Amino acid sequence: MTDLLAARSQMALSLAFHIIFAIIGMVMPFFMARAHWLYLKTKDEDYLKLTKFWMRGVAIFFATGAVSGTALAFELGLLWPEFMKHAGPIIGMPFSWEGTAFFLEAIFLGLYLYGFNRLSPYVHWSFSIAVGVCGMASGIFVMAANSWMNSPAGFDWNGGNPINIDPVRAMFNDAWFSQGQHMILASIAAVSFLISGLHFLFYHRNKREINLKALKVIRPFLIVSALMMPLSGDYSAKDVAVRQPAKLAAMEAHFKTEKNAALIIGGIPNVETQTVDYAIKIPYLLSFLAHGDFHQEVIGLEEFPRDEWPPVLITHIAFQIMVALGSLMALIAILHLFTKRFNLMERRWFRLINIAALPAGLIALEAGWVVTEVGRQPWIIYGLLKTKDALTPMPGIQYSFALFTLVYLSLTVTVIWLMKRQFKSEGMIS
Amino acid sequence: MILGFVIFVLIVSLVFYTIFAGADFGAGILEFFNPKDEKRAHEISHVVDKAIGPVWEANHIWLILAVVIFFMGFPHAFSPFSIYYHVPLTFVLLGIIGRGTAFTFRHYDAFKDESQKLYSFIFRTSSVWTSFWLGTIFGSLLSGPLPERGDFLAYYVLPWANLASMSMGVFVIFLFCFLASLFLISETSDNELARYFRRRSLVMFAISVVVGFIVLVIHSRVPGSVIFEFFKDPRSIALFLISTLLMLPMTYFYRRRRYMELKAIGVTQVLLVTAGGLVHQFPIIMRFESGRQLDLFNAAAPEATLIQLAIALLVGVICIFPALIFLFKVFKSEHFKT
Repeated sequence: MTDLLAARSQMALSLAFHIIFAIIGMVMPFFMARAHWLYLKTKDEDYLKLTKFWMRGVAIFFATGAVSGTALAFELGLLWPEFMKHAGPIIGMPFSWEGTAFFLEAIFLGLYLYGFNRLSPYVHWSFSIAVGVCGMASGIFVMAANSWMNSPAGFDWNGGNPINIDPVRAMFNDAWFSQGQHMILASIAAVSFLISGLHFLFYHRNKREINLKALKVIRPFLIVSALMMPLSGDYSAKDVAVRQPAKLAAMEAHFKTEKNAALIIGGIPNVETQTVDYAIKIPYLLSFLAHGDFHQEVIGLEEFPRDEWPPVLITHIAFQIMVALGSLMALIAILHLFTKRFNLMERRWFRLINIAALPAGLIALEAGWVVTEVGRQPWIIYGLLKTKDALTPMPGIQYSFALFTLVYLSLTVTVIWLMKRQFKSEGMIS
Repeated sequence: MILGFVIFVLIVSLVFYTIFAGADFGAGILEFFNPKDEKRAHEISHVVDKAIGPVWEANHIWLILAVVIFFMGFPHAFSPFSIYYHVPLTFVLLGIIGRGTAFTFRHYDAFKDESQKLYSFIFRTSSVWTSFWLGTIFGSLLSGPLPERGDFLAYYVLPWANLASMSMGVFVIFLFCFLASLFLISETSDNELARYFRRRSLVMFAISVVVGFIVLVIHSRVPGSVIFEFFKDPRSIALFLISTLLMLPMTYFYRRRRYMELKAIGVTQVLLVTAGGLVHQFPIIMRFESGRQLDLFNAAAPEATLIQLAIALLVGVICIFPALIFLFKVFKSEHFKT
């Protein structure tokens, strides 16, 4: 394994691991806030039990998210010092804001987790909202930094020695809003499906009412986010079509520049023959989706030098997975609208669909990240700095990759084991 | 002026990290020296748990803050630093991961059974490990210059794999233990436990002084070491003298069990020691064989960046400090009682 591949793999693994824990920290405080609020209003002990049940999981996930976030901060320097040399002064700003948001989040979380008997009830409750808001802010700032890599702004490259640096312009680059909104909604949808999937599983097994209450808390988050995702994705894709046409072309496995471009669903792109095998092609639809006009020209991969093509196979398949799952989640969300009307909770098929959909949001999320990161290759700063030129000169990165793979694997196993024990202790599973 | 402010916040965050995370690490290291009696050991772990629980994540964010200020404000130093110190930084990172997760899992695991032993083991070991490597990196920056020619060993191993650097690592371990035992005295209402921590603080202080002295001797034999120059600098001598003189009131407060004053002096001692090591080095970050130096001025980012960084830090300070003080007030009000 080359040093470059090892470094990319290590970074990818660290990001893929961290993001699961980060989104729990971003979204679950709002679930807890709602459950906690319902307890304060109705005095129904079940809601308090639910809040504390979720708290335990959140604490574990938060700590793991914090240390994996630290890992990423270190890895920026350890793996990509050449990138940091150029990018540090330009894109450091969102990172410093993210640091502030995260610091506040950690403080508020400490107050919330440990403050039950030390603070007045509504003051204590307000910290759950504070944690959530800071978490969301944190996520948005990180997204601004990543957006900059896709849509660099706020400097003159000057052949590799950036001048005229404008950190504000850099942070509020052309992509920050479209990436930010898509990620926020995706986190809410993914966590909603995950946690409600769990409670569907519990209810399926033990029929305890507390699970119905859990689902009641989560349902509005699930429905709104999942239904907004297709719109959000459309907005994002239209944006990418303009700013990063190579990425869109790879995503859609679109080799030839053409008007009336067909949408390719599924299929396995063949880079040698520049065709897509086993695909369903719907004429005119890609032009329409990418540019709002059935006849508009969509730029194909052929416009770019061969060595600047992103890996088409990975990007396309990841994109198809993401869209397929996102669509599925939207359909399930529509069903949820009728939960009360048709008493769907008592229908076995409804519960099983939701249990099966438990990981759907997470998989879609990871797939989406593969699309945007792999789709940006070979660039680390789109159009300016190649990933291979950002790498650390230190050799032996394969060992580092192997080591951290072991670490993340152990943590994954441990966290799953801990969650199982927690569910058992609460009588949710036997 | 802007640069001055940024440097100031960088130093403050490193200082806060040293004190707060130091005490945090130290508590974990102290558990290594637990008495054999299982019940006692368990009580101590419980005190540590309660003491660190609400604040450990906040304590460790100072490091992230320092890292961000470093790569945003001083990118020309951040890059070579990350390259030369890749290996010990990786070790620090592994320690941080192990420690944070083990501590949290120990507290939040639904069943308190045999797995507690594993968590405690990882928590304690990684507390020692991380402190050691942080100290080693610090010791390396203060000792001999970095190579600009050579092979893998010369670049990536020898700068830190030497006695001068690693002795500093050992020193930091005991320094953190000292800090932790001071703070833990007031974290328990059990008088016997309080006395236990009090005795520990004395022992750790004594060991720190001895090890610190050994570190000075080792460094004085390393040509090019900053500490080699230590005694030629009147500022370093002054700091060292003050620190020694403070041992008198320290002993007084220790005997009179005036713990608030004891803590204040203890923290001051730690700061003086750190300042003593750094005052001669400031503003240099890294020194190279050829005589080239990277310091806080020539490695700084352009002004536009520094201005934005300063603004972000200012807002951060305004938002964070009241919140942090509130957090400590809610959970640590015992520290402010005499």
